[in-house]
Amino acid sequence: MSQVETNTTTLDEPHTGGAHAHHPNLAHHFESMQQQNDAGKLAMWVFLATEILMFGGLFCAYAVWRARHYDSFDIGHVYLDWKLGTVNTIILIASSFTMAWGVRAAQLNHRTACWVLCFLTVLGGAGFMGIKYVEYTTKFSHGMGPGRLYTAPIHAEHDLAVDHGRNVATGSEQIPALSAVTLAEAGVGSDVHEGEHDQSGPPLYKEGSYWNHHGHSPQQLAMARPFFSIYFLLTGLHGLHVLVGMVLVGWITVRAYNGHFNAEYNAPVDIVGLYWHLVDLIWIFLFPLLYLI
Amino acid sequence: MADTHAHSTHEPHACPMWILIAIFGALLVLTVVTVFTATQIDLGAYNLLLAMFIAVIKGALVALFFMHLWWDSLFNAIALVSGLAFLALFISFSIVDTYQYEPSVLPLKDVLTPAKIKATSIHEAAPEQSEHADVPPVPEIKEHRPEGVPAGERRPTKSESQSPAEGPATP
Repeated sequence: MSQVETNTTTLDEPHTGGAHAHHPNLAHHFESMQQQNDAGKLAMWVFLATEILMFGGLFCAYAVWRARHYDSFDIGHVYLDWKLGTVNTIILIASSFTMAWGVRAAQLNHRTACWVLCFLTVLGGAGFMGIKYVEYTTKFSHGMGPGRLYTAPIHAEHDLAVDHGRNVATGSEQIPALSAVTLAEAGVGSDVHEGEHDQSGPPLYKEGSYWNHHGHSPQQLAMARPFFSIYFLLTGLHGLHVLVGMVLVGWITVRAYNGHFNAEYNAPVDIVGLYWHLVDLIWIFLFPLLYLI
Repeated sequence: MADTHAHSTHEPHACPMWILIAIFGALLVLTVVTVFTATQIDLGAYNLLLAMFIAVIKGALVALFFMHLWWDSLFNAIALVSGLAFLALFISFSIVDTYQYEPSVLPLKDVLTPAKIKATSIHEAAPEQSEHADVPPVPEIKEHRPEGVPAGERRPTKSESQSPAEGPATP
């Protein structure tokens, strides 16, 4: 904290609160730094409102699909690891805390504290994305991708110990093309039969099969596809925002390290901080909606 | 410390450190409460309400203190609240609208079956089609749609719903 005082040398004179103290960072069309900061923050809040509305479209899709097809969410959400989700929530809240602290440090002219805290915030974002990467790759390895990348029921059918009148594809990754046709020809019968099977007990998968863990039949897994599409859209858009936030906070870290900010001029720290908090805010809602309930 | 210097400015209120720490602690505690109530206590449909209630509290704490709305000009809060208000309008109207379409909503078990996912997924179906181009599996499935029921037009009757029908969810 000893080198903090050196930072004040960027000011020509003590701020007197009027238009007479021309701060080097004060744009000409503003009366004062105060007015400039307030205008910038209001603009950022308007932008954040549009961000909320953009996510709102996906939240709306979540609400409508959940209201209509609760089964999909009931089956799908158990495949998300709520422990990893909890760790990610804590990481993001902690990074939000370091960001808020960093804004405070900038406002109080604590130059070193400011860049260190901003850097910790970037690290938090990296940790979040790292865990997200692990989660995504796990999902994709089980065929649980969005939309047409969702092949979990096919993986599960591979692992069925008792096959419904079809050849088990032994030693081969490919399903014979015939099976798709015969299944389609069997059509109604095979589905109804599987439906009855679900009610009598969990399907029998081979030992050590991933699908034994929750015991969902291929038919039930098929119904979870909309859930995973919504999951990937929501977390994907959110993850994109985390990446953008990391770049922005990283930029702020460099600028803070170079001593660009002080008690008068810290609007960029504040505004980027607002963005980072919004990303945290959205995750606070995403986490329980997707992982827990 | 250089805190004394900061008092000579009239910059946006620097949030007191104890408030930041208190909010951080509250957010962590509420996260634990969310996870505990959602995973350990079965309230049925009320789990969703409870989790959203806690999330709203957490969101309010972040917005008010981490995002400084507590000290800010009211204009910033108006921007946020109007955004949320339009979001509420958007979602509630959409929900109400879906109730109008309830008769045309097909049960998922009819719309999404392993066979249909096999037919439409790009990972497994593509190599099949290339190796056995003379046996296209996709058209086979479409023939089982009940006659006179265009895709996603209306909910089939009891007897019709026994056969799988192509629905709006299948691309």
